[in-house]
Formats: sequence, C-alpha cells, structure tokens
Amino acid sequence: MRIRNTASFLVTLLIISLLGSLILMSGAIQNSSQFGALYPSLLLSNSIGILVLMILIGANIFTLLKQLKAKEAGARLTLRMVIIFTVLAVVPVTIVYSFSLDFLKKGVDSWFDLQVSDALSDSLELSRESLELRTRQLLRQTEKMAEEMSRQSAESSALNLDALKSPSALLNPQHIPNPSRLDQMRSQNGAEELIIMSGDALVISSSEKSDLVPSLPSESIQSQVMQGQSYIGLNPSQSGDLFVRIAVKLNVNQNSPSQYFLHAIYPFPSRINILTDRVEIAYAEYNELSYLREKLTLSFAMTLTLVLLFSIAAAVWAAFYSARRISAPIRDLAAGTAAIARGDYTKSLPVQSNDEIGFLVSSFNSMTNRIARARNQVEMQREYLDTLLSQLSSGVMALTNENIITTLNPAAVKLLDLQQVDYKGGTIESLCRNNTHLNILEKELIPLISDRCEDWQTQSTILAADGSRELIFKGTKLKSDERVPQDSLVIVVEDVTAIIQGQRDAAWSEVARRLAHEIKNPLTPIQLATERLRLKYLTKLEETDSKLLEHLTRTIIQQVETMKTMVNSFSEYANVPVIRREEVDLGHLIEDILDFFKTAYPKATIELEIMKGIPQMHADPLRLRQVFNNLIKNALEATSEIDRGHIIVSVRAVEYIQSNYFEILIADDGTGIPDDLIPSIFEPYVTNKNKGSGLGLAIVKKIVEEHHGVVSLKNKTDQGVLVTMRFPIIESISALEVTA
Amino acid sequence: MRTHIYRFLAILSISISSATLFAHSAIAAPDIKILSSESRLSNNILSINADAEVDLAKDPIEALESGVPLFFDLHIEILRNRKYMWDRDLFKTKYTYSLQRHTLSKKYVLKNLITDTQGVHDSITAALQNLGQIRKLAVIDLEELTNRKNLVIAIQLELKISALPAPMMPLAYISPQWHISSKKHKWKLDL
Repeated sequence: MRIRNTASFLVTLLIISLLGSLILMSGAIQNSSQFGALYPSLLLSNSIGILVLMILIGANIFTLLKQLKAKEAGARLTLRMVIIFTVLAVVPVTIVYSFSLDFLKKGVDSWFDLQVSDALSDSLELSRESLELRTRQLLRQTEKMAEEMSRQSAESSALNLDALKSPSALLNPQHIPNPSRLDQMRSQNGAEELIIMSGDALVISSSEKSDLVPSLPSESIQSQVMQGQSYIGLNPSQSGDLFVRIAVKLNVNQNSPSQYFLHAIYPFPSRINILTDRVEIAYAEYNELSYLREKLTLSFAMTLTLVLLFSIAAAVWAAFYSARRISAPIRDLAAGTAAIARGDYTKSLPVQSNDEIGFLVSSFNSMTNRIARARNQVEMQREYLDTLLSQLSSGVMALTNENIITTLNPAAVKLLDLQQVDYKGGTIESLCRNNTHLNILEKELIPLISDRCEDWQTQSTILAADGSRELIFKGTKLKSDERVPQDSLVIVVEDVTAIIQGQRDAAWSEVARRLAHEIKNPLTPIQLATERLRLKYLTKLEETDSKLLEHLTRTIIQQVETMKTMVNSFSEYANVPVIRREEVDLGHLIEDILDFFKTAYPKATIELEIMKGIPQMHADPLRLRQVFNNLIKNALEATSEIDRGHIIVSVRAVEYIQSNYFEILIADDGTGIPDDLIPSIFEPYVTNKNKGSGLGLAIVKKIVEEHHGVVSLKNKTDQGVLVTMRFPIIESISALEVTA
Repeated sequence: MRTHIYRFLAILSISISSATLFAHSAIAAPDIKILSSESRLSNNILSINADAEVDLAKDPIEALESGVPLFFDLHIEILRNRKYMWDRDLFKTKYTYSLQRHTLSKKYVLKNLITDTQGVHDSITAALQNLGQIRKLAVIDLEELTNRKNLVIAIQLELKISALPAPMMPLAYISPQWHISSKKHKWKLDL
C-alpha cells in the first residue's frame, strides 16, 4: 500500500515536472533570450520523461493483460474503464493537435509575404546601387589624388618617396612629404584617412581625421593594388557605420626601385548610414526569419507533439490509476471472498473510501472477524477435546456415517497396535484390512458398525506385537442435531487383557492349590497302602496271583508318582516365588544353556547371534534359565521329527515406541503350531505335544511377565515357529523397583 | 512485483539518459584542429598564440549565409599537472567570437566579443582563417599564481550551439554538422 502510494506520488510528480518543463520549453521557443539556453535540456528531459511515462503505461498494460489472462477479479472492469478514459482523452486531444499543427504551418507561412520579400531585396539592391555610385565617385577622387601625388613626386622632391625609405631620411626633414598637403587633400576630398604605403607594407605618410591608429589594408588588398588593380571595398565599421576603403597605385618615378599606393578611407554621411543600417537590419532579420521558418515550424511542431504525447501519456496513466483505484475494492472483495472459500478467515480488506463500496468492505471485514472469532472458539474447543482424548487411557474412535475415521486418539493407536499414526480420513474397513493383526476385527466389528445399532459392545482378541490383547469395543451412535451435522459413531476401546489374564491366572492358581491340597494329600496314603499291600501279599500268593498283584501295585505306584509330578508342576505354576534380581550377562547365560543342549542334541544345529554392546540385564538368572530351557527344549522337540533341526537364538537391543528393550528371538524350523492354538498357546494345558504337562509355555509367560516383559509366538511364513520376547532395559535395580 | 517494475523503470530511465548523453558526446567529433600553439610572457602577462584549422559543414555555412550569426568559444585553462591525481584547475577563461555576414557589403565580420575588436573579410574562408589565427591573446597576470610549478595550459575552440536561435537548437543538437569542436589542446607552461 505504502509502495503503491509512493509510486503514484512519484508519477504525479513526474507529470507535474513534465508539465512545467513543457511550459518552459514553450517559453524558450517564444523568447529564446530568456530560456534559449535551457531548450536542449528541456527537450531532452521532456523526451525522457515522456518515454518513462510510456514505459510505465506499457508495464501497466502488460500487468493488465496478465491479470486478464489469469482471469483475476476486477481486470475486465479495469480494462473497460481504461478504454473509456483513454478514448475520452485521446480523441479530442488528437483533433486539437492536428488542427493546431495545420494552423501553425499556415500561420508561420503567412508571416513571409512574397511582396515583402521582394521589396526588401529591392531596397537592398537599391542601397547597394546608391552606395556603389558613391564609391565609384570616391574612387575617381582617389585616383585623381594619386595622379596628383605621382605628378608632384616627379616634379618636386616634396614627395620623394624613395628617399624616405632609406634610414638616413628619417634624420633629414626635407625628404618628409608635406603632411599639410596630405591633410589638405584628405580634407578637400572628405576622406577619413589617407595613407601612402610602400609595396612592402611600410606606411610612408598618413593623414587621419582622428588621432586613432590608421586602419591598414590587408595583405590581399596590398597585393591586388600592387598588381595594378585598384581596390574598392564597402566595409562595416566597429560602430556599424559603413565606410569605403580604396587603394590606388601611385605612378611614381619610373626609375624608383619601389612601388607605392595610396590608401584612403571615406565615411558615408550619417543620413545614408542610418538608412542603409535600417535596410541592412530589416533585410538581415527577414532573411534570418525566412531561414528559420522551417526550423521554427519544426520546433513548434516538436513541442506540440511532445505536449500531445505528454497529454496522451498522462491521460492513459491517469486512466489506469483511476481504473485501478475504482476497481481495487472490488478486486479486494473478490480476493477476500476467495480467501474465505479457502478457509482463511484472517483476511481483512483495506477500507479506502467512505462511499457504498467502502461500506461494503467494512461489512465484509466485520463478517470475517466474526467468522474468525467463532472459528477460533471451535478450534479451542477441538484442541481441548483433543487434549482430553490424548490423556485418556481408553481408546476413542469416531466414525462418520460412511465409516470414515474422524477421530483416533493416541490410546486407540496404542491399543490397536497401529504403526502408522495418521488414519484420519480413511475408513475403518481399510484400517482393519491394512493391518494383519486387525483382520479379525473386520469379521467381528464391522457388522456391528454397519448395523447402526444404538449401543453395542463386543470383545475381541487381537495379536499385537507384544502378544495377544483382549479388547472390549463399546459403540454409541450419535444422532445428528444442530451441533452434529450427521449421524456418527463413537467407539471406546478398553484393554482388558490384564484383567482377564489376572482372573485366569488366579483361577488356575486356585485350581493348582486345590489340586495340590485335595489330590496330593490322598496320594501318599494310596502309595503307602499299595506298597504295604505289595510287601505283605506278594510272597504269600501263588505265582499267578503274585504276578498280577505285582503288576497292579506297580501300576498304582507309577500312576501315583505321575500324579505327584503333575501336582508338583501345578504347585510350581501356582507359586509366587520371590524374584532375586541381579545383573545377568544375557549372552553368557544363553551360551551356557545352549552348550548343554548342543551336547544333549548333537544332531541339531543351534546358532547364537548376540548384538555387541548390549547392557547387563537385571533379572533372576535361575528363572530366566527356566524360560530358555523350556523354549529351547520345545524347539528341539519340534525339530526332532526332522533329521537335522536348525535353531537360531538371537539377542539384541531394540527401540520400540520410544523405549529400549532386550529382544530375544528363538526360531526353529520344526513342525510349527496349528493356527487355532496360537492365541491360547500360553494358557495351561494348551499344547500340541503328546507328552508333557502342557505348562511349559504357561510358566514361560509367567516368568517373562514377572520380569515386566512380553512374549509372543507365531508360525514362520516358511516353516517352524518364532518366539519373541521383549524385556525392558532398565539402568539399575532401584529403577526397576520404582517401576514395579 | 510492482516494486520490481518500478525499479526496472528507474534503471531503464537512467540507461536511456546515459545512452543519450553518450551518443551526444560521440556525435561531437572535432572539426577544428589546433595545429600549433605557444605561450609568451611579457610584463608578467601570459599570452598565447595558436593556429587552428576551422572547417564548417554545409548547414552552418547555409545558416551564416542566411544571416544567422555563429558564435565560437575559445576556452583557455591553466592546470597544475599532478603525478598521481588528475590535473587541478587553477584558472579558466573564455573568449567568445561572433561571425556574421554583412548583407549590404557582402562581407563577413569576425568579432571578438571580449576584446571588442573585429575583422572584416571578403569570404567565409578568410574569416575562418582569421578565426584560427589566435595572436597575442592575453590570458592571465601571473601575479595571480603563487605556485608556478608543473603548469599546463589547455585551449579548446568550439562552435556554440546554445547561442543559436532557439528554433535551430533542437536540430543542431541532433545533427553532427553542428557539433564542431577541437580536442582539448594542452602544452606545458615553461616560465
């Protein structure tokens, strides 16, 4: 805005300067004595100024064309106004210009009348003829004087001119020509000066009316006279008066070695001088003006053209300026409307006038202000809601009628184990489809969502990276009203894994405790009674009966032992042992365990990969050993059906969701686990083996969770099983206690 | 965008002005040649003699014949020659001559407007020859110069376009025929 004002001010200043300059230029042509010296500078500055103005107009036209091409608001209106203003200004100015130019030419030509010209030429000629008559007369007088001098020179020594040329003559006064006679001659003939000169330009004698230095003839006159041709010349004097210069050769003694001539200057009578001066001035001025006529016309035409160009340029620029001024608020309004359409409510338009358009702009500004305020309030409320949602431990999802996710808080991202955070704008179907572990939700959740029930609840199990999760989804339908533009659905996700697991663990512990108490206690009397029965009657019975007794009692004792082992396992699973944490070198511990298994299973290939520089782990080494024993034993048993099993144990430190973990992977190429067993594989008595208690993996999970870790299991894509364990890397035991 | 346009226009205007001035100076090729020069000292008054060849083109001669007086400026400068800097101006003076045709007498009057002396010549050639013969032209009383070391005298004779009648000036400034000037003629002043 400021730049635009400065530019307009500069251009206005340029136009005013140009106008002043043109006025001065006009003055310079009319009165060259005052402004003549300024004329070239004025002409140059005006031409440059007009050129600059033209370039400005060119730039304006270029900008306008660009705006028209881009279909900018107000461009067409500006074009129309510019055309109207320009036509209104240019047409009359051009008409005036063409007529002025014509009048100018005819006017200047009319000053130079042919008769006047002829009359002046005739008067000049007449003056010349008159003066020539007078000069001829004076020539004759001079020639007479010359003849007289020549005669006297021959008769007397009074004009012995040769004698004067010798240096001694200057000392001998008798050789000096009689000056009084020369003065007399000059006086009698009305001459201003009479000079007798030698051929080599020496003044022999002179007589002047005034005491001024005599005006000597030029060398060309001297040589002309010496060749015998008399010189007669009409010359203007310093004061402007005319005088006649005549030089005539003297015919002195033929024996004389030198030649002489008489030089005479005759003035004209003052009356003749005045008249000839007038004729001279009048003719010279007329002649000069006649010569300048074309130049004058050209100068006037040039000035007039500059004025025309200036007028047109100024008018066109003013047309652009006015058109832009008028269309600016409309253009601003259009730009403001476009900005609001884009969602930019901060746009405020400048109020440039107090008229109706100004009122419109003010109304627009107040409208945008109100919208912006309302928008800010909504934004603040939304931010507050976002903050609230982000702080919730429950996951919250909001869906539109088309199942498009509009809200997904961080807890929901974490609970659903989503790697990519931004799912807003996508559908719930694509979310389930794009995340393998959520595929199950597509069957369980989507139908409920699609049914558009008012309120519903479902529980699903998903297999996250850190194990299976029990999630409860509670859906509530929001009906559209004035605050909610369309029906939507809010789903709250709760993680109940820990609760269910806790309940399940507690139930299993209770079962184990009861089993230990209710079954283990009667087993010992059964075993003792059986052994006593065996001792007492085995030797007393016949051989056949004795064998039968021996077989039955052995069976009872074996089964009791088996039951005892089973009950002990349960006791072990149900017990909550005290964990004795200490710094454990995980690599070293696993190496020890693997060495044992390598000896026991020589056919199997067991590889260990340990990342360099992993820190010490704070854990109970005995419990960890049990974990690895169980898992590696499982892996070896799974590969025992294959001739040469291949087990890889990998230990490394990883970063997962901004926390550091020990990650231990145990991969085998065994038979794998049926897919339907995988979600519950860590439950007690869930196994695919014929032998075993079915508590191995349950114990593994228990110990891992005692160490705040997670364990998961899945079938590899090619063959075998991959068990993944993650334990948090904790710097010290005290920190671990705080965490616990 | 608009700022850039105005900046561009400013640069363009300056360029056009510079180009015009450059072209103007380029057109002004010297048509007056100073053939010889000398300085003389008499009674502490420094005077100069010089011979120049003055050649007028067709247009100036036509103007002169039509009664338009022509004016010539003889610029005289006394400078101090300096080794590592440009010369320093010590004194400047100018003699202006007018050349006009006297229609009635068909003579050409060459007048020194400063000394108010004139010569009447039968032809333009004679008048221009006389204009080129600079004789005993007093320049300065050397009392005015305290330091007389490393002095250089420079003269330049040129036709004065600005003294022409205003209607003639635009064309005279454009036409190279009117740009008649000698180069600055310098010589060392031995005192």
